[in-house]
Amino acid sequence: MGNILEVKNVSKAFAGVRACENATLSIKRGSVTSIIGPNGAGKTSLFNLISGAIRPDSGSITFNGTEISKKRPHDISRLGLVRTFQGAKVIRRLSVMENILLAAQDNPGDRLWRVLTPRVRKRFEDQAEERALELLKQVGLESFVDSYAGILSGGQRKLLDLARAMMANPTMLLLDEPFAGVNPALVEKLVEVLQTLKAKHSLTFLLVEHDLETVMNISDEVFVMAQGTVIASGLPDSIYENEVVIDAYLGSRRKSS
Amino acid sequence: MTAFLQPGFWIFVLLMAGIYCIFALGLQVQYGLGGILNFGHVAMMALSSYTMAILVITYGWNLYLACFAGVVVAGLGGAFLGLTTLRLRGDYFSIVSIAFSEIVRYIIQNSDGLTGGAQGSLNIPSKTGFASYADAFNKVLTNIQQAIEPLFGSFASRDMALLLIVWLTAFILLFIMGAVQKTSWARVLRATREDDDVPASLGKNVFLFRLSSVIVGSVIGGIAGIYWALEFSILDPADFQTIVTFFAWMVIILGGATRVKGVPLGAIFFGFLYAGTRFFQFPPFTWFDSVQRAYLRIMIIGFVLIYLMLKRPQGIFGKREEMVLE
Ligand SMILES: Nc1ncnc2c1ncn2[C@@H]1O[C@H](COP(=O)(O)OP(=O)(O)OP(=O)(O)O)[C@@H](O)[C@H]1O
Ligand SMILES: [Mg+2]
Repeated sequence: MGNILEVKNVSKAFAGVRACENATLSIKRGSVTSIIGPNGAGKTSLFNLISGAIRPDSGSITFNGTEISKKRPHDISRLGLVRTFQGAKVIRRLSVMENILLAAQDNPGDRLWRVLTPRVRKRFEDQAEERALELLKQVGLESFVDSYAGILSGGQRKLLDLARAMMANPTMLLLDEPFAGVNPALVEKLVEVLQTLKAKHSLTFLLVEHDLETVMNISDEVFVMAQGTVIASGLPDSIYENEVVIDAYLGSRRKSS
Repeated sequence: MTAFLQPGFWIFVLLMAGIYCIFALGLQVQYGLGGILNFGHVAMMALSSYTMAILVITYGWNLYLACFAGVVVAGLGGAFLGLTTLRLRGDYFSIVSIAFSEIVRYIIQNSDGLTGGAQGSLNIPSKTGFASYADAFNKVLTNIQQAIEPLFGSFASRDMALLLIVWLTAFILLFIMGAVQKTSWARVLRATREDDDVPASLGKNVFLFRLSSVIVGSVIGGIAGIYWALEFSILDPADFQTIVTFFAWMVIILGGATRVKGVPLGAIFFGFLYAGTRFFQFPPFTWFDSVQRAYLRIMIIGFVLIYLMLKRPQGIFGKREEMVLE
């Protein structure tokens, strides 16, 4: 099996703020791994670094054996490493279907000259639409296919974001707080969806999440970040026992439970 | 008031509307899809028309080859503008694009030995001594004029012949761009109008999509420049001031920026608005001299535009949701 993603000593500072400081972690292929940590710990920054949205000041990031720390976001995405955004970003003025279709890979219609070959375009679009519809059904958004994504509620946007990321055929998904602001029943459903996806497509998940119960439930491994650094890692249970983690993140919560 | 009653005048208005339709279509590709605010679009007309004129007059090229070269140069102008500045944030791009078109105009105005300078294309160096580029085309127009004589009678003027060609070109381009609008290329551009991170995270090279839309728009703007040059038979650097770009903006705002089919209607509407205000030859307009009145016309058009924007922000044909959804 081995590791699909290796982050080694990655640092990034923003005008004095050290968002990431020698962050190091490895993610096992086919696993569900979570990152937890206080607000401002650098979790989203780490996602931005991995996905190429920002460049690290130093350190290396390899995905499937390829160095990606200097690659651009779209190149990294094409390698099969796809992310979602904290708070879910949908394109409000595109329909739900159009949002998902954006993620279709190697669409011939992305090349302008393909305007001359409508049949080739249509064949691809028809297949992509079928697949998109399937994904929309999986997340329960099929009745919104033709609505503008801008009318979706916060939780629905998360579902769309997830389905859209799936449409890109990833081998690894980075999910930034996929459960935040989602009602408990829907969280359960999302977890179910994730687990089906994992089983069906042998996907690797890396997620950032504050909902500890869910984290402990679904994760094979947990990393804890504070002040830009990974301060602890291990099996979910061992994290609860870790003194450093209790100090930095769990606080009295641990004692009361 | 006499021009008001002359069909020839209205044929001219429709002809110019056709040229503006093509010109504005080049902006629509950029703004209607990608939300790119290009305020330097007139530079593409200047580049194509002057390239064509110089190649014909100084170098004796075949007119049609020169027209083609002119359009290519306009496309290259768009590529240059895009490559150097599209990486900037949207509003910076807009400012630089104005500067770009003004620089193009200043260069044309000050390169006497090449472009004829401030005296226009009549002053372009020529071996034959006649600084004219439209001769070959005028023969074609005369032929068309004769051919349509039985149909149009006394309306079969040179302008009428050119009007047919211009609107035929416009409709072909509208048809092509209508098809382009349905591609996934256009969908990605419409996504970038709102957000760069999402399409990038899905494997789209946002910069290349933007660049290609600016180049396509510039090529279309270049085609408009060729017709402009053929209609007037002489070029003057003063023809290519930034106001011309804004006229095209009015066209697409009037028509509804998100729909290709709005462009011809916007162009005709604008054409009549612009021409119609010429006939304001009664008080209070007669209190001003002709130069002041020219500005007054533009002001009135501005007010009409503001009124329309308040009443119908999506333009005549646009989709309201696409304008107002947050
Ligand atoms: N583009 C930026 N410019 C300046 N500072 C930034 C930037 N991005 C992140 N930071 C800073 O880096 C630190 C880490 O931010 P980050 O968003 O990674 O935190 P986080 O762990 O995701 O927090 P949360 O749980 O609240 O989402 C913060 O102090 C933040 O202000
Ligand atoms: Mg975050």
